[in-house]
Amino acid sequence: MIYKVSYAVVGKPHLGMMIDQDTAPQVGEQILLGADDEVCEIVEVQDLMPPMGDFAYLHVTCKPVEET
Amino acid sequence: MAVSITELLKRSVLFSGLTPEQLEQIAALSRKATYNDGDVIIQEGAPSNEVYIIREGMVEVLISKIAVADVPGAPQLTPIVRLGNGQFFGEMALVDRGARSATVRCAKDGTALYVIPREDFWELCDSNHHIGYIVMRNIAFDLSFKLRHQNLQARLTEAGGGGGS
Repeated sequence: MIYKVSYAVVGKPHLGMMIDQDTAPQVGEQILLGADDEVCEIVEVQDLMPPMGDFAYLHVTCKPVEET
Repeated sequence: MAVSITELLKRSVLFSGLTPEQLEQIAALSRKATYNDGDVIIQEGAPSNEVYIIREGMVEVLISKIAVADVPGAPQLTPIVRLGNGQFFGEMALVDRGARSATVRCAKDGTALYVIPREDFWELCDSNHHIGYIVMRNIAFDLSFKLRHQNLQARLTEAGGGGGS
């Protein structure tokens, strides 16, 4: 299965991304998004559309990780 | 071991459902292009002649905030999304033949793309309606994917109260 994943970040529209992955994203994972590689944490994964053939369509909601 | 272009095209949703022989026909139309960070691949408003598939790397889609002919200087570009491995862009050119609706800029050195000329592709679709049907169905599916992404992103932007950069 190939996962077509749509990433969106709360309050940061310019950090959105779409990419094909071989593994499904998981809640709690941290990823780098945007031109400045901003660290974001996945807070929700949902089916965006029904699968078609070998492709699954997922939507991931992230939040920026606050630097301490 | 090198992966054939046919194998790579098979991993693109644009060609999901095509037979190996049909993928070979698509592959014969394609050429490879490589870009570096900051290179403009397509320019908003320019004529559209090709569709692009990202083999490896990352591109950024930007739209102009202001495009007033009488105002000097380049319009300010706002990034709206990044596209990575397996995504394609420029597909609206295949559908409506209109001008480019956004600028697409390379966001990672060594980004490798496959480029398919629109007219050659249309000729193939005209000569093989099954290929045309499958690819147009897949384009419709992917445009729906992108639209749903934009809808959710807009909702999150409002929820977060942010305007981005």
